[in-house]
Amino acid sequence: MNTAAEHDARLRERFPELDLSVTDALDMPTIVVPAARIVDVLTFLRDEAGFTMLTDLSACDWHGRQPRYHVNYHLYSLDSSGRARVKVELADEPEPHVPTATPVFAAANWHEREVFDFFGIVFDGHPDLRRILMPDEWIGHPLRKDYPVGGVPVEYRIEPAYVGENVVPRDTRPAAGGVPVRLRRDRGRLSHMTWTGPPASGVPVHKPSQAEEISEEGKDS
Amino acid sequence: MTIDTRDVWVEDETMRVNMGPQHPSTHGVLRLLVEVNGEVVVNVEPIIGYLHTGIEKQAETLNWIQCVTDITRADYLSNFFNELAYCVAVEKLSGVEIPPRAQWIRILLCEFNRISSHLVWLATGGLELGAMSMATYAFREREQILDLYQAITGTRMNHAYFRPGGIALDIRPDHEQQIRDLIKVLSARFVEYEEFLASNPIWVQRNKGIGILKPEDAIHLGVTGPALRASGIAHDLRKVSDYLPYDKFEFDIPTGDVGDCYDRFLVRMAEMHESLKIIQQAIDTMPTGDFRASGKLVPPPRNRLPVSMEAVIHHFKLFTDGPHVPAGEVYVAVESPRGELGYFVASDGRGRPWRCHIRGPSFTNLQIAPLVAPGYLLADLIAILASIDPVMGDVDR
Repeated sequence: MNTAAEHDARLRERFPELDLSVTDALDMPTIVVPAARIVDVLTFLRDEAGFTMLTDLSACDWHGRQPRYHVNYHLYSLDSSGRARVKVELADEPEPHVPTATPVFAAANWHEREVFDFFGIVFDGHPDLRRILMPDEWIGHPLRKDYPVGGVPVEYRIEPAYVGENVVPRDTRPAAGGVPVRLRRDRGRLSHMTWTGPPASGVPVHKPSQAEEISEEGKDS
Repeated sequence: MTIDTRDVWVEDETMRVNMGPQHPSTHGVLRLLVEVNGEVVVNVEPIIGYLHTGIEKQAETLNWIQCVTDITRADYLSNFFNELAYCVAVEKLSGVEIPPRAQWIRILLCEFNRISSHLVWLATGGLELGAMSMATYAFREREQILDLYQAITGTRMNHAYFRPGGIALDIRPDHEQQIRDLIKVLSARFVEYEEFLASNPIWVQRNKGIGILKPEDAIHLGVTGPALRASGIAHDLRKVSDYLPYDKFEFDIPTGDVGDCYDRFLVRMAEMHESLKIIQQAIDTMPTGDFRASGKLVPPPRNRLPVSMEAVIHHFKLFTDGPHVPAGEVYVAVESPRGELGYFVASDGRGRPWRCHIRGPSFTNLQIAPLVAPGYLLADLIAILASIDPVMGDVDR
């Protein structure tokens, strides 16, 4: 019913020029489609193969490999309960482009905004391509592998707001045992990619400066 | 100070008002930019992201076992489903089959979780539409279910109880009686609640004929779960997927006819009864045996540690380095209380997930708000929102 071989034959018949191959992945048949023809293939799968539902659209950054970005469309057929994954592979560019799938599946709207937000992949023709989960003024695309974890400066200072008589400011109190606590912010952690070299340009990397190595009063003692 | 009225007043006398992000009826920090003409909603734009906590990014820094504690916080009302989808994905990548007892315990807890999640929907939904006492009643029963979670998993929420390869701890014999007692209490109460609300003319008036979602729109927008079933499409992943052996259990898929808020209410009420049926069958047919698979994905049995050097090495490697999951990518979808909860997990063959994408059902279902709300009163928007039952932890992740 929902085998790779069956889809393979039908897709080859319909798109002879694309040389599509459907492979049986671990979970579902997977089709790799060139970005320019994604709308045609999705329309075909919706109208003629019964995949009436786009359940998920996400991306994956295979940093260090070529092609770097994969955009995965997970389709579902209500009739046969079958699934299929359509994959678009994109080269390592600052702004990869894919045509939008919103005319085919309205569900793609927010999912494409999410992929744009987190990966910087631009969906051409999207009705309202804005950031969706990150703030509008955010710089960089956080789920790219060269975007550091914890690379965001956190706004806190150790400056007692109120120091009265006989009141030891909470932040300068020695920790248990009388040893002053040395607070330090862990910076520049990359998500298991630390050895891949400097991040791509455009991604703000916060370099710890001396001021941020916050120490307590009496650190010399 | 002059007030710039350009954003407030639009030419045709409609007005834009912000509902949220701090509004009691938005189920968390959802912000709705509502354009109203008098009391009638003209347009709604949900603005999300206020609860974004970077769960997917964080997952890439944790090893395969630690990751459970991270992703369980995504949909904080149905923690077990997050853990389930993730664990099934990891098991699929590793080619691990879990023993029947673990499957049964997973089913048992997931169905309890479906009930406890629906009880929060019932409580808050009732509260928002003026049925104040519903909130106290439903939370009373939810509390008993959370007590059961605490007895079994050690925590009331964010359990990290399902682990790749099985579950963390076996359930004890004394839990069985607790579960049986709870089933008796709940089945009587659900009947009460349904009568309580369905015989309330205000509740019926505020829900019937409100927020009608047509089946073709629901499919086009990727809506799943009770919202889709209320529109008349009997789609339930428990019946068609094999992530857990639900084919060994007897239960029905309740559906609606109209697809309005009232149908969504009825579908969820019926689902709670069906879940109880599944729990009853699960506790009656609970298999004996191991509660987790053997192999590299799970820790060695405790009694092997003093006698086997291999077990010590395995234990040490597992908890320092984490298991190594074969390279590949997999998409696993489970039927959560809100619909299809999908996890796309990719591995590069090393000790951490390369990518862990969460397809939250609330995220997709919330897209129907701009479609169904226009034309109804502003007060009806509250009813519509309550009937979609979004959890912002699931929307924003």
